[in-house]
Amino acid sequence: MANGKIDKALQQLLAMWQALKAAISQKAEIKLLWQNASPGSSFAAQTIKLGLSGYNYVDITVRANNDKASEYTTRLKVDGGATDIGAMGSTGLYRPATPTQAGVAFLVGRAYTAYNTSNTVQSNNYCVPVKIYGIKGAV
Amino acid sequence: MYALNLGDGGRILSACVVLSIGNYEGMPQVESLPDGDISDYKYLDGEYVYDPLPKPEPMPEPTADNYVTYDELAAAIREGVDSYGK
Repeated sequence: MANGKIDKALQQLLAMWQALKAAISQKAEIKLLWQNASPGSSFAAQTIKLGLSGYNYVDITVRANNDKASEYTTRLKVDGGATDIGAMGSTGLYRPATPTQAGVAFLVGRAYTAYNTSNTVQSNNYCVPVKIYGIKGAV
Repeated sequence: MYALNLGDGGRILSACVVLSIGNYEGMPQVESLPDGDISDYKYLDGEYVYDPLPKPEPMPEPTADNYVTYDELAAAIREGVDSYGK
């Protein structure tokens, strides 16, 4: 009888171990895919070609106003459409970005001219992309 | 090593660090970048050509005329409160 209980417990432990191994094999994988070699330079509207077909998300880090202290990172879904990324607080600096399986298309950076307004000015110096990470698996 | 993303006429749009997992097909790879703002350069026949774009006018700083006074702000709040439910 005791052997039967031990056998059952071992079977359960084995099942738990196999489930754990499966979960570990599906863990998130984050890779640096692109790094701006000149983050202090202007960044016009352009597409960064990346093979994103195997990735679920991208993390895009931008420098809101051309200094390292103003870096912001936004997570976007691949093929999830255009999203404004950047510093959307009181400074109101942002840049629309569209990640697809072919890469990330960036438009020109924008800044709100005043608080609580929809008026913006555009500049290639706002929200310059610094790094793009690809993310696979569960997050 | 860096890879250049070029626009029309060889204008440098951006440069990225060449990574082992990257795909840089169609992008010239270079050992060094020009000093300063790289978007002021074109990359033609394997050489950097300084050709700056006109810089936009800086955004004007807000002046005192752009701000409302406390009295004006208070009056606007009062007007909003008074109009509630009408």
